[in-house]
Amino acid sequence: MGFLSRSLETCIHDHPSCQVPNPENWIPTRLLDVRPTTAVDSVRLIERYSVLEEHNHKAPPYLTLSHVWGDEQFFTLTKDNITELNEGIQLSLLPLCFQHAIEVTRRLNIRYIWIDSLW
Amino acid sequence: MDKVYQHGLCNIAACMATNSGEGLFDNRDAILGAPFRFEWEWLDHASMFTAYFDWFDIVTKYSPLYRRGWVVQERLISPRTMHFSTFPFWECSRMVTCETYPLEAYAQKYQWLPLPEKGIPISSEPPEETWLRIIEHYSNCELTRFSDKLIALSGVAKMFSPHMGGDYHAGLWESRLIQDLLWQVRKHASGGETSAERPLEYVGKIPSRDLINLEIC
Repeated sequence: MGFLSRSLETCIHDHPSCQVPNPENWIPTRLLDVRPTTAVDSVRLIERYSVLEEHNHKAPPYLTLSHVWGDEQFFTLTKDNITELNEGIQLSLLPLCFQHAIEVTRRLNIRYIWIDSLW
Repeated sequence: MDKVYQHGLCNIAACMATNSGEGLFDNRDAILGAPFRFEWEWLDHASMFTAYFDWFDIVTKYSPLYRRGWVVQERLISPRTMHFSTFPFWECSRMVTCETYPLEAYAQKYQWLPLPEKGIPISSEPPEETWLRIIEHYSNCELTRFSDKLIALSGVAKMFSPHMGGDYHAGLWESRLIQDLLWQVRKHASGGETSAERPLEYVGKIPSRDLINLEIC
Protein backbone atom coordinates (compact mmCIF):
# COMPACT_ATOMS: atom_id res chain seq x y z
CA MET A 1 0.00 0.00 0.00
CA GLY A 2 2.88 2.36 0.71
CA PHE A 3 3.93 2.36 -2.92
CA LEU A 4 0.39 3.06 -4.17
CA SER A 5 -0.20 5.70 -1.56
CA ARG A 6 3.03 7.48 -2.52
CA SER A 7 2.12 7.27 -6.20
CA LEU A 8 -1.21 8.93 -5.49
CA GLU A 9 0.48 11.71 -3.53
CA THR A 10 3.00 12.26 -6.31
CA CYS A 11 0.28 12.41 -8.92
CA ILE A 12 -1.88 14.83 -6.95
CA HIS A 13 1.02 17.20 -6.32
CA ASP A 14 3.11 16.90 -9.44
CA HIS A 15 0.71 16.10 -12.28
CA PRO A 16 -1.53 19.06 -13.05
CA SER A 17 -2.58 17.30 -16.27
CA CYS A 18 -4.15 14.48 -14.21
CA GLN A 19 -6.54 16.85 -12.40
CA VAL A 20 -10.03 16.72 -13.87
CA PRO A 21 -11.82 20.05 -13.35
CA ASN A 22 -15.16 19.84 -11.56
CA PRO A 23 -16.51 23.40 -11.54
CA GLU A 24 -20.07 22.20 -10.92
CA ASN A 25 -18.99 20.17 -7.88
CA TRP A 26 -20.59 17.07 -9.31
CA ILE A 27 -20.64 13.88 -7.25
CA PRO A 28 -22.53 10.59 -7.79
CA THR A 29 -26.11 10.23 -6.52
CA ARG A 30 -24.96 7.91 -3.75
CA LEU A 31 -21.69 7.15 -2.03
CA LEU A 32 -20.47 4.93 0.76
CA ASP A 33 -19.15 6.85 3.74
CA VAL A 34 -16.32 4.67 5.09
CA ARG A 35 -15.49 6.69 8.20
CA PRO A 36 -15.04 4.10 10.95
CA THR A 37 -17.83 4.02 13.51
CA THR A 38 -17.38 3.40 17.21
CA ALA A 39 -19.86 0.53 17.35
CA VAL A 40 -19.73 -2.57 15.17
CA ASP A 41 -17.60 -1.60 12.18
CA SER A 42 -19.99 -0.26 9.59
CA VAL A 43 -20.12 1.92 6.54
CA ARG A 44 -23.04 4.15 5.62
CA LEU A 45 -24.83 4.73 2.37
CA ILE A 46 -25.20 8.46 1.91
CA GLU A 47 -27.13 10.54 -0.62
CA ARG A 48 -25.64 13.31 -2.71
CA TYR A 49 -27.46 16.19 -1.01
CA SER A 50 -26.28 15.05 2.43
CA VAL A 51 -22.68 14.84 1.29
CA LEU A 52 -22.77 18.29 -0.28
CA GLU A 53 -24.47 19.75 2.75
CA GLU A 54 -21.75 18.44 5.02
CA HIS A 55 -18.95 19.68 2.78
CA ASN A 56 -20.26 23.18 2.12
CA HIS A 57 -21.41 22.28 -1.38
CA LYS A 58 -17.88 21.48 -2.50
CA ALA A 59 -17.43 18.01 -3.98
CA PRO A 60 -15.26 15.89 -1.68
CA PRO A 61 -12.92 13.32 -3.25
CA TYR A 62 -14.20 9.76 -3.67
CA LEU A 63 -12.72 6.52 -5.00
CA THR A 64 -14.35 4.14 -7.47
CA LEU A 65 -14.09 0.37 -7.70
CA SER A 66 -13.71 -1.79 -10.83
CA HIS A 67 -14.42 -5.43 -10.12
CA VAL A 68 -15.88 -8.59 -11.60
CA TRP A 69 -19.43 -9.00 -10.37
CA GLY A 70 -19.54 -12.79 -10.57
CA ASP A 71 -22.66 -14.83 -9.98
CA GLU A 72 -22.90 -14.46 -6.23
CA GLN A 73 -25.90 -12.65 -4.85
CA PHE A 74 -25.27 -10.10 -2.19
CA PHE A 75 -27.66 -7.49 -1.02
CA THR A 76 -28.36 -4.47 -3.15
CA LEU A 77 -30.14 -1.22 -2.49
CA THR A 78 -33.90 -1.36 -2.74
CA LYS A 79 -36.75 0.87 -1.60
CA ASP A 80 -37.21 -1.40 1.40
CA ASN A 81 -33.71 -1.41 2.78
CA ILE A 82 -32.55 2.11 2.02
CA THR A 83 -33.17 3.45 5.53
CA GLU A 84 -31.32 0.51 7.01
CA LEU A 85 -28.37 1.13 4.69
CA ASN A 86 -28.33 4.83 5.56
CA GLU A 87 -27.90 3.88 9.18
CA GLY A 88 -25.10 1.43 8.58
CA ILE A 89 -24.00 -1.69 6.76
CA GLN A 90 -21.90 -4.03 8.83
CA LEU A 91 -18.55 -4.37 7.11
CA SER A 92 -18.26 -8.10 7.79
CA LEU A 93 -21.48 -8.72 5.86
CA LEU A 94 -20.03 -7.28 2.68
CA PRO A 95 -18.16 -9.40 0.12
CA LEU A 96 -14.40 -9.59 0.63
CA CYS A 97 -13.65 -7.46 -2.42
CA PHE A 98 -15.69 -4.57 -1.02
CA GLN A 99 -14.18 -4.98 2.45
CA HIS A 100 -10.72 -4.64 0.98
CA ALA A 101 -11.70 -1.67 -1.17
CA ILE A 102 -13.10 0.06 1.91
CA GLU A 103 -9.89 -0.68 3.82
CA VAL A 104 -7.85 0.86 1.00
CA THR A 105 -10.10 3.93 1.03
CA ARG A 106 -9.57 4.36 4.76
CA ARG A 107 -5.81 3.86 4.54
CA LEU A 108 -5.64 6.60 1.93
CA ASN A 109 -7.59 8.92 4.25
CA ILE A 110 -10.41 9.24 1.75
CA ARG A 111 -13.90 9.22 3.15
CA TYR A 112 -16.04 8.08 0.23
CA ILE A 113 -16.16 5.25 -2.28
CA TRP A 114 -18.58 4.41 -5.09
CA ILE A 115 -19.35 0.75 -5.73
CA ASP A 116 -21.73 0.16 -8.64
CA SER A 117 -23.10 -3.25 -7.74
CA LEU A 118 -24.39 -2.06 -4.38
CA TRP A 119 -27.15 0.04 -5.93
CA MET B 1 -21.63 6.00 -15.54
CA ASP B 2 -18.68 7.56 -17.29
CA LYS B 3 -19.10 10.74 -15.28
CA VAL B 4 -18.70 8.78 -12.04
CA TYR B 5 -15.32 7.45 -13.13
CA GLN B 6 -14.22 10.70 -14.68
CA HIS B 7 -14.69 12.66 -11.45
CA GLY B 8 -13.39 10.03 -9.08
CA LEU B 9 -10.06 10.82 -7.43
CA CYS B 10 -8.73 7.37 -8.29
CA ASN B 11 -10.11 4.04 -9.43
CA ILE B 12 -9.37 0.84 -7.52
CA ALA B 13 -9.09 -2.14 -9.86
CA ALA B 14 -9.51 -5.62 -8.39
CA CYS B 15 -7.62 -7.30 -11.22
CA MET B 16 -7.36 -10.87 -10.00
CA ALA B 17 -10.74 -11.46 -8.33
CA THR B 18 -13.15 -13.56 -10.40
CA ASN B 19 -16.10 -12.58 -8.18
CA SER B 20 -16.71 -10.20 -5.29
CA GLY B 21 -15.98 -12.94 -2.77
CA GLU B 22 -12.30 -12.69 -3.66
CA GLY B 23 -10.15 -9.91 -2.32
CA LEU B 24 -7.70 -7.32 -3.59
CA PHE B 25 -4.67 -8.58 -1.77
CA ASP B 26 -2.87 -11.53 -3.25
CA ASN B 27 -0.51 -13.83 -1.39
CA ARG B 28 2.32 -13.04 -3.61
CA ASP B 29 5.26 -15.13 -4.47
CA ALA B 30 8.13 -12.66 -4.34
CA ILE B 31 10.15 -14.68 -6.84
CA LEU B 32 7.45 -14.25 -9.46
CA GLY B 33 7.80 -10.56 -10.01
CA ALA B 34 11.44 -10.12 -9.23
CA PRO B 35 13.71 -8.96 -12.01
CA PHE B 36 16.17 -11.61 -13.11
CA ARG B 37 19.61 -11.20 -14.44
CA PHE B 38 21.13 -13.23 -17.22
CA GLU B 39 24.27 -13.22 -19.24
CA TRP B 40 24.06 -12.96 -23.00
CA GLU B 41 26.54 -12.75 -25.84
CA TRP B 42 26.19 -9.29 -27.31
CA LEU B 43 28.38 -8.24 -30.21
CA ASP B 44 31.74 -9.74 -29.34
CA HIS B 45 31.50 -9.97 -25.57
CA ALA B 46 29.17 -11.27 -22.92
CA SER B 47 27.08 -8.78 -20.96
CA MET B 48 24.73 -9.04 -18.02
CA PHE B 49 21.16 -8.02 -18.69
CA THR B 50 18.28 -7.49 -16.31
CA ALA B 51 14.81 -8.56 -17.40
CA TYR B 52 11.51 -7.46 -15.85
CA PHE B 53 8.10 -9.06 -16.19
CA ASP B 54 5.76 -6.72 -18.01
CA TRP B 55 3.04 -6.78 -15.36
CA PHE B 56 1.18 -3.91 -16.90
CA ASP B 57 0.87 -5.72 -20.20
CA ILE B 58 0.00 -9.09 -18.64
CA VAL B 59 -2.64 -7.74 -16.28
CA THR B 60 -4.31 -5.26 -18.63
CA LYS B 61 -4.71 -7.94 -21.28
CA TYR B 62 -5.19 -11.23 -19.47
CA SER B 63 -6.38 -10.67 -15.93
CA PRO B 64 -9.92 -11.75 -14.94
CA LEU B 65 -10.89 -8.09 -14.61
CA TYR B 66 -9.64 -6.80 -17.92
CA ARG B 67 -11.01 -9.68 -19.92
CA ARG B 68 -14.37 -8.05 -19.18
CA GLY B 69 -15.28 -5.51 -21.83
CA TRP B 70 -17.16 -3.28 -19.38
CA VAL B 71 -14.12 -2.57 -17.36
CA VAL B 72 -11.94 -1.27 -20.21
CA GLN B 73 -13.99 1.90 -20.25
CA GLU B 74 -13.66 2.35 -16.50
CA ARG B 75 -9.90 2.25 -16.77
CA LEU B 76 -9.72 4.61 -19.73
CA ILE B 77 -12.01 7.21 -18.24
CA SER B 78 -10.64 7.27 -14.68
CA PRO B 79 -7.85 9.83 -14.30
CA ARG B 80 -5.87 7.45 -12.07
CA THR B 81 -6.03 3.74 -11.30
CA MET B 82 -4.48 1.55 -8.64
CA HIS B 83 -4.30 -1.92 -10.13
CA PHE B 84 -4.37 -4.54 -7.38
CA SER B 85 -2.76 -7.67 -8.72
CA THR B 86 0.12 -9.94 -7.74
CA PHE B 87 2.30 -6.87 -8.01
CA PRO B 88 0.25 -3.71 -7.67
CA PHE B 89 0.90 -1.03 -10.21
CA TRP B 90 -0.12 2.56 -10.64
CA GLU B 91 -1.53 4.18 -13.77
CA CYS B 92 -2.29 7.79 -14.55
CA SER B 93 -2.02 9.84 -17.71
CA ARG B 94 1.59 10.70 -16.91
CA MET B 95 3.00 7.39 -15.84
CA VAL B 96 2.61 3.70 -15.28
CA THR B 97 4.77 2.38 -12.50
CA CYS B 98 5.12 -0.83 -10.56
CA GLU B 99 6.90 -1.70 -7.34
CA THR B 100 9.13 -4.18 -9.10
CA TYR B 101 10.22 -1.70 -11.75
CA PRO B 102 12.77 1.04 -11.87
CA LEU B 103 11.01 4.35 -11.40
CA GLU B 104 8.99 5.57 -14.36
CA ALA B 105 10.04 2.70 -16.59
CA TYR B 106 6.81 3.19 -18.47
CA ALA B 107 6.62 6.93 -18.33
CA GLN B 108 4.20 8.16 -20.96
CA LYS B 109 4.22 4.87 -22.80
CA TYR B 110 0.48 4.35 -22.57
CA GLN B 111 -1.22 7.59 -23.47
CA TRP B 112 -4.74 6.37 -23.94
CA LEU B 113 -6.71 9.56 -24.16
CA PRO B 114 -4.76 12.63 -25.18
CA LEU B 115 -7.63 15.02 -24.57
CA PRO B 116 -7.03 18.65 -23.60
CA GLU B 117 -10.44 18.89 -21.88
CA LYS B 118 -9.34 16.18 -19.53
CA GLY B 119 -6.11 18.04 -19.01
CA ILE B 120 -4.11 15.27 -20.66
CA PRO B 121 -1.38 16.62 -22.88
CA ILE B 122 -1.73 15.77 -26.54
CA SER B 123 0.51 12.90 -27.54
CA SER B 124 2.17 12.55 -30.91
CA GLU B 125 -0.26 9.77 -31.82
CA PRO B 126 -3.33 11.04 -33.73
CA PRO B 127 -6.65 10.36 -31.91
CA GLU B 128 -7.78 8.10 -34.78
CA GLU B 129 -4.92 5.72 -34.07
CA THR B 130 -5.56 5.77 -30.35
CA TRP B 131 -9.19 4.91 -31.13
CA LEU B 132 -8.14 1.92 -33.23
CA ARG B 133 -5.93 0.61 -30.45
CA ILE B 134 -8.85 0.86 -28.06
CA ILE B 135 -11.20 -0.97 -30.45
CA GLU B 136 -8.66 -3.74 -30.87
CA HIS B 137 -8.54 -4.06 -27.11
CA TYR B 138 -12.34 -4.32 -26.90
CA SER B 139 -12.49 -6.90 -29.62
CA ASN B 140 -10.31 -9.15 -27.51
CA CYS B 141 -12.49 -8.90 -24.43
CA GLU B 142 -15.25 -11.27 -23.45
CA LEU B 143 -18.53 -9.52 -22.83
CA THR B 144 -21.17 -11.70 -21.22
CA ARG B 145 -23.85 -10.20 -23.42
CA PHE B 146 -22.77 -9.44 -26.92
CA SER B 147 -25.29 -6.64 -27.23
CA ASP B 148 -23.40 -4.83 -24.47
CA LYS B 149 -20.30 -4.25 -26.58
CA LEU B 150 -21.45 -0.95 -28.03
CA ILE B 151 -22.75 0.24 -24.69
CA ALA B 152 -19.47 -0.68 -23.02
CA LEU B 153 -17.70 1.51 -25.54
CA SER B 154 -20.13 4.43 -25.44
CA GLY B 155 -18.47 6.49 -22.69
CA VAL B 156 -15.13 6.40 -24.46
CA ALA B 157 -16.78 7.20 -27.80
CA LYS B 158 -18.34 10.27 -26.21
CA MET B 159 -14.94 11.54 -25.09
CA PHE B 160 -13.40 10.97 -28.50
CA SER B 161 -16.21 12.48 -30.51
CA PRO B 162 -14.98 16.11 -30.59
CA HIS B 163 -11.71 14.87 -32.10
CA MET B 164 -12.88 12.43 -34.72
CA GLY B 165 -14.77 14.72 -37.10
CA GLY B 166 -18.24 13.50 -37.99
CA ASP B 167 -20.86 11.35 -36.32
CA TYR B 168 -20.43 8.07 -34.53
CA HIS B 169 -22.57 5.10 -35.55
CA ALA B 170 -22.32 1.65 -33.99
CA GLY B 171 -18.57 1.68 -33.51
CA LEU B 172 -17.77 3.53 -36.72
CA TRP B 173 -16.81 7.16 -37.27
CA GLU B 174 -18.25 8.93 -40.28
CA SER B 175 -14.89 10.51 -41.07
CA ARG B 176 -13.15 7.11 -41.17
CA LEU B 177 -15.79 4.86 -42.63
CA ILE B 178 -13.62 3.39 -45.38
CA GLN B 179 -10.54 2.75 -43.24
CA ASP B 180 -12.50 1.29 -40.34
CA LEU B 181 -14.36 -1.16 -42.56
CA LEU B 182 -11.10 -2.69 -43.72
CA TRP B 183 -10.01 -5.26 -41.14
CA GLN B 184 -9.00 -8.89 -41.05
CA VAL B 185 -9.42 -11.67 -38.57
CA ARG B 186 -6.32 -12.36 -36.56
CA LYS B 187 -5.46 -15.29 -34.33
CA HIS B 188 -6.44 -14.59 -30.75
CA ALA B 189 -3.68 -14.52 -28.11
CA SER B 190 -4.96 -17.79 -26.62
CA GLY B 191 -4.43 -19.53 -29.97
CA GLY B 192 -8.05 -19.69 -31.07
CA GLU B 193 -9.22 -17.94 -34.17
CA THR B 194 -11.67 -15.14 -33.82
CA SER B 195 -15.05 -16.02 -35.19
CA ALA B 196 -16.70 -13.63 -37.60
CA GLU B 197 -20.21 -14.73 -36.66
CA ARG B 198 -22.83 -12.07 -36.18
CA PRO B 199 -25.41 -12.54 -33.46
CA LEU B 200 -28.96 -12.42 -34.76
CA GLU B 201 -29.77 -9.31 -32.75
CA TYR B 202 -27.29 -7.30 -34.77
CA VAL B 203 -28.36 -8.42 -38.25
CA GLY B 204 -29.87 -5.51 -40.07
CA LYS B 205 -28.61 -2.97 -37.53
CA ILE B 206 -24.85 -3.06 -37.77
CA PRO B 207 -22.86 -3.28 -41.00
CA SER B 208 -21.41 -6.76 -41.33
CA ARG B 209 -17.85 -5.52 -41.64
CA ASP B 210 -17.99 -3.66 -38.33
CA LEU B 211 -15.10 -4.56 -35.98
CA ILE B 212 -17.56 -4.78 -33.10
CA ASN B 213 -18.96 -8.00 -34.59
CA LEU B 214 -15.88 -10.08 -33.88
CA GLU B 215 -16.45 -12.76 -31.30
CA ILE B 216 -13.79 -14.86 -29.64
CA CYS B 217 -14.30 -18.62 -29.96
